[in-house]
Amino acid sequence: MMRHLSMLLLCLVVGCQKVIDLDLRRVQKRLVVNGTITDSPGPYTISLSHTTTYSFKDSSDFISGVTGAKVWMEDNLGNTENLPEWQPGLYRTDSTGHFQGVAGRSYALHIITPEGKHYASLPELLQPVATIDSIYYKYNATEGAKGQYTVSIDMLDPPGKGNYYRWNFFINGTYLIEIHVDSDNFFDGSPLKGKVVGGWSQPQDSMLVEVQQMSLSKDAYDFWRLVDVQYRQQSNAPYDTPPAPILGNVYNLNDPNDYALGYFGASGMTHKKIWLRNK
Amino acid sequence: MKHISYLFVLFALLSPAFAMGQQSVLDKQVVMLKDTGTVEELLLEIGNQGGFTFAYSNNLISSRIIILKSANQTVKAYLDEIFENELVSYILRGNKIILAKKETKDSFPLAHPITMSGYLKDSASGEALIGATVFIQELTQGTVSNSYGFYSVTMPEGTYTLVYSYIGYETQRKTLLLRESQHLNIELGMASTSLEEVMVTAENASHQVSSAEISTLQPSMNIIRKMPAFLGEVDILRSIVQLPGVSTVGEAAPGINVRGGSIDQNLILLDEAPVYNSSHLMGFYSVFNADAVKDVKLYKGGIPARYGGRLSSVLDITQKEGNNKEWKGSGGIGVVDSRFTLEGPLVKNRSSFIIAARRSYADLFLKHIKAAQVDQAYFYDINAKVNYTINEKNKVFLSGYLGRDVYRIGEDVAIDWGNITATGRWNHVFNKKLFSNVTAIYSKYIYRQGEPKGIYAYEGERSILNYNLKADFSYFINLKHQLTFGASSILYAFEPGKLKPVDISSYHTIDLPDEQALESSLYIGDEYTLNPRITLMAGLRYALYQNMGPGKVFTYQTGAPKSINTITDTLQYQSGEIIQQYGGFEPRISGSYLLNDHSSIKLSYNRTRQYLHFISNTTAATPVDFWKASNTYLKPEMADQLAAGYFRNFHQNRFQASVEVYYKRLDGLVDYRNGADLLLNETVETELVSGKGRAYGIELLVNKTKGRLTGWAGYTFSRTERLVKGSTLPETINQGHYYPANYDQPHKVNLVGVYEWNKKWTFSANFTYSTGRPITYPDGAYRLDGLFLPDYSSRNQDRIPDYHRLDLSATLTNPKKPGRKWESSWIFALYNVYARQNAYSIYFRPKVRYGNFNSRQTEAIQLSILGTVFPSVTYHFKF
Repeated sequence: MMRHLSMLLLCLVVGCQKVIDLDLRRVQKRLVVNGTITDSPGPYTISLSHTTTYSFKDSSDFISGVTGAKVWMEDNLGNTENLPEWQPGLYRTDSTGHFQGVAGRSYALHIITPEGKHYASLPELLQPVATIDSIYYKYNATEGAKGQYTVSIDMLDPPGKGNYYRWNFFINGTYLIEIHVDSDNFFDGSPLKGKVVGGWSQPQDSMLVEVQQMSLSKDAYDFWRLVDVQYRQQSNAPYDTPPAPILGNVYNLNDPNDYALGYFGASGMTHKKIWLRNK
Repeated sequence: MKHISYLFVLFALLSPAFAMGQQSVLDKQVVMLKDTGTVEELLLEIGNQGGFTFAYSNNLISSRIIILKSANQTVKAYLDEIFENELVSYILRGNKIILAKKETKDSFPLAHPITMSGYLKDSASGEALIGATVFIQELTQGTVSNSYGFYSVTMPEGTYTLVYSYIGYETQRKTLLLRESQHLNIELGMASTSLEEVMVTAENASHQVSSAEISTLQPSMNIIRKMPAFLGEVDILRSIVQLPGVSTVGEAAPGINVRGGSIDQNLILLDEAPVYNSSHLMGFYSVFNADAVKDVKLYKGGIPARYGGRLSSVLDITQKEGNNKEWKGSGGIGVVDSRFTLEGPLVKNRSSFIIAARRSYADLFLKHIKAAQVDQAYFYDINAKVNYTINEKNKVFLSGYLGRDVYRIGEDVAIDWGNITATGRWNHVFNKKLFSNVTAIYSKYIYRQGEPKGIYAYEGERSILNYNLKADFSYFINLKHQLTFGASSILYAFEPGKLKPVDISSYHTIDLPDEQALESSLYIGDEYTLNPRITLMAGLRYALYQNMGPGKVFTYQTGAPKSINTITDTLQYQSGEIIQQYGGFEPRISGSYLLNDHSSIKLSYNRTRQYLHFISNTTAATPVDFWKASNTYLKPEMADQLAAGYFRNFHQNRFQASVEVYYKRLDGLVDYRNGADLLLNETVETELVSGKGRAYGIELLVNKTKGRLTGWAGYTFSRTERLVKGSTLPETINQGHYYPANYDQPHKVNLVGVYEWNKKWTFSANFTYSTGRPITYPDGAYRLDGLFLPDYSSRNQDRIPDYHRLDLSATLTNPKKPGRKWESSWIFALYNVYARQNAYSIYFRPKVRYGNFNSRQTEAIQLSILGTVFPSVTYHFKF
């Protein structure tokens, strides 16, 4: 909606943009946590890293993982599961996959950093999610140099407001970095048809597309919605919301003002695949 | 002489016969045997029949023959008839009635007070003059006309010189022997510039210096009309932003920020009707057609008790009444729009009307630009007003405004919004001292938005409607006291939002429940002239606010942040049931102390309360943003302001200068949780947090209102900060520390000049400078699910570059041909003369936006709006 207003504005007047030289040295160092437990078989991975400077020129500076932390998950029945360090900064449940999320239980993540700070997530209730009824694609030859595929799904939202969704999109097993989330606020209890969940503009002979449909809690939905907004609308234009910190659900247990960025989620998950054939 | 009169009166008062005589002799019914004769004969007859005598000096008695209306009346009635139109007083001494000539000025206790009242008008159009000065030279005191041009002064009878004056008009003096109350309408003629240059006003300190009014600006419409305007379109709000203490977050931003207040804290009144969205074209223009506006007054502080409902300021805009002497038309053809105004008498000297309309036509050009995909993009507005003078005591006005903005661009945007207001007023003069105005107001703001095609197609609408009934009284007791009092009641009906799916939409219909509220208030205020040096304005307002059913209120778990997950119960309220009630007193006090005849110091304290909130979390407000009434969770806002000022006029009041300092404390301000989702949200309280604010500053202004060169120079230093410290982290902003508000611009310089070079050419210039507004830069970066994201952990800690701009304009007035009414002029204007690319905003993005997501290279982009010079030509005509 805001995008429309900005568009309107730019249509009506001469807005002009130029690259300026700005040096941002300030950095607020924070822990960044990311990972989700689902009701599909594991293993589940949690990544830990630190924020770095927001630099404009230097592409060599790497975001490095936090190594040497102790990480575990806990459910509301008191079961715990350790996540040993699998790769630098990545912590993973047992690869045999005996540990699996169960719908109806709440999960919390605990981290003790090498400095000894204890972070924990707020408990997340794992809610089941509806299945994807159908998946299909459309080819638009006029868009882009080589045309554009868009992949859409149909699904039926269960009655009762408060269902939140996220869709992940994979092409030949590779995750496409795009965030698609929605709330049933406007379509509660009715079929959602033609929901676009991804697109691809470099057609190969045939591609296997997989769409994961995940349930989100309200907080997780708000979090990913904001991440998406902040990523796509980094314009800070007159009719945009000023940028703001995106609070996740992981806090330092001993310091209420110290929080980690990122989110620990618990999601129900279903998926559907389709072959894209080149036209 | 004076002392003797006093002694005499004292003696008379002490004498028992005085009190008795009042009853017994003067009120005695006397039957006379003759009803015709000289004064002497008649007095003798009255005395004979009544059994008492008269004492008087012969020079008091004329030798004319008088025929009495009746030969059977009281003694007093006889005397009144005989000495009609003569200054004679009757004093009882025992069985004697002493007749004495009344002394005019010195014998104050004897002379009965008289009242001069009437209307001040423009001699050419008959328009009422608001705030014109009536000054009584002998008493070195005066008053000003009210918003209907009515004035009333009360003083002992005598001979006085009354000086009637108004900025830009020729001063009139009337020396009058006043023996009884009089109704006197005065018409002032517009002063020609050359005349004004040589005229020296003999007035004492001007009203600007002597009155208790502080923090009040009344920019002359003459200057506003001649200031350089963006694309030639004269705009009141844009002009007001050039005054100290008033700012805006950017060029396209709607509304104004006054002394650290947000844009919803201004009570914007158009003929007393509140205007809820003052913008056309997203904020480039305001909804007020300058051709239809007579007078603009902005209260930044020292707000009189009669205004209420907003925290920071009152912008009182009065529409013209229409020429009641002759038919007049005027219009203009500009780059943005064309406009036309027609006014004239309906019944000569009794009734007149004005109608003004304008329409923009950018869409007519944009339609032909295929890339723009503009189907419709225009605004229009119509102002109309009619008045009818029933008689000297009764006058009625009917005024209305209708404005609309419509935008349809491609398949994505379909937006329109507009205000409708209607005001009916009845002025009634109870007596020469008591003036009343009863007003009925209807005001509606409606906003529609939609997307016509696709699975997200919808039509949305929201509105705010209010009915207001109020009565205001001005009681001009005497030169020392001028009382104002009144009552008002406003009924609000909000339609917070509804959404209807269209086309192949997968949306459901959403219709948020309507909200109702009633705001009732009472006020009283006194303007008290303690002595010629000290004037006080003290007022008290009480408002009672009631949020009423039907409605439902969610209750939330205590101790946890409000969220739809923490709802514990839903309370249902019936129609008319009171859901929540707030109220409180609002004291308003200001005073001035005259140091000498050209300078004064003033002080004021103001408390204001606000029960409506504008819900908007974008940098610049958009038409999508909405108003919400206070309810169980949304508390009223409150502000306290202290202001002090030094006022000084130079060069026979040609230059008016002032320095003001202020400190303001704000409470109950609405702020938003980071990333709040406000649209069509039934539980919008879960996204709102309450904050505090503080604002302080110093404002310097030198104003020149007379002569060939007019204009002003202003400097403002101001700070405005917010504090949001909730009980949980998501309800806290900036770690609970004060942070600068979006519109915190510490330094601001404004220069406005209009120079009438000769009869043909007028030049004007406008320069503005201000510190860049605060902005949030990233203070870290991180990666999440492959996305490289900036981290903004503290709000508004950086600033965009400073803003400055120069505008110029030249007006060529074609000389009026003799015998013809047609007059025309060309206005050539340059906006942003040196084409500075002022930053509106700065933002950050990955250097390669799409494709290589692993790139950590980013760049900072500066966005400018109107980043070039905008020339314009406008043609004006009048007949």
